[in-house]
Amino acid sequence: MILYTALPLELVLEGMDRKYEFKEIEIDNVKLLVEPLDVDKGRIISIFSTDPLVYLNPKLYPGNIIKFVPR
Amino acid sequence: MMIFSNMSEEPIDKNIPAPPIGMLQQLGQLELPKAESNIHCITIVGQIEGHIILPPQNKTTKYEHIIPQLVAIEQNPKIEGLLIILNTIGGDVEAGLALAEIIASMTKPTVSLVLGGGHSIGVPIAVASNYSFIAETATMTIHPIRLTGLVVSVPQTFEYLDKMQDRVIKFVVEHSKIEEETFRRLMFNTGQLARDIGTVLVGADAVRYGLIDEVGGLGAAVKKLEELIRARKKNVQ
Repeated sequence: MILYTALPLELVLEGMDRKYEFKEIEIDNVKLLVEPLDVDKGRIISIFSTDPLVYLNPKLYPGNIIKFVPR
Repeated sequence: MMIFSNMSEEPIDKNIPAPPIGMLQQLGQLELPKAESNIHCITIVGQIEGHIILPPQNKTTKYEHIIPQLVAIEQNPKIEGLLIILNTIGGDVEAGLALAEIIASMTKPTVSLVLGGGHSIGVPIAVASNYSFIAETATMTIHPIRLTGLVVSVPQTFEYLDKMQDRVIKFVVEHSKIEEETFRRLMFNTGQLARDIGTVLVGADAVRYGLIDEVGGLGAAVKKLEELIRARKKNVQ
């Protein structure tokens, strides 16, 4: 892997051993990154969608707590 | 088995009316009619993450998210144009070049907008679109590629690095108006960066060197995209 970045590498690679605590889920065909609060509940961190109107959906605002079917 | 509706905290219950009436009763308002946008937008922020998952303190854009989105945009007849918004610090060469190549090969009109920063591997992505914009205060850092990890000190290492660098330079030169010689000169410039060699281009500088097409913001970018969409429709007819 070659990293081509303007950021010092020690900043990028710091904490390489730490665990990634967020989870990706899909609701209504929208991929979301959530911070799990329970097996079926999570706080929305970010939305992965190219449709700008999805971001206007009040139910999907980052910070909202959302229920999902655990996989 | 309890089935939860996707959006609400409550389990689905037959006594609760369907959403529009429910919303009218509870909030005193109707749901707005759903509009559809013919322009889709991809934001490429933070580090561009490729073959290796970066540590969690990095904000990353993952290529496995972006690539299927680009394929879907190219295929969906309802989507007529793509706006790419960049505020990236760089990242994996392979992932960045892959994204740049896909964007460049799309048949739908694409416009990119560099906000904040479009550094290192963000440069090829910014120039991959049909037309590129940079905000007045946005910056682009052009600097050489570095090797990470174990480096075997043989001439071949240097040649390999040079080859990787040429991939980036070739792509940028082919997709923008900058001359190869100028781009190389900016890349190996000394005295600009404290910890590295290279150049920082601020807004209008990027346009002056021919790297980016125009200085502008969201309004200008959307207007240009709509113009490209109209021109494409005319060509098809």
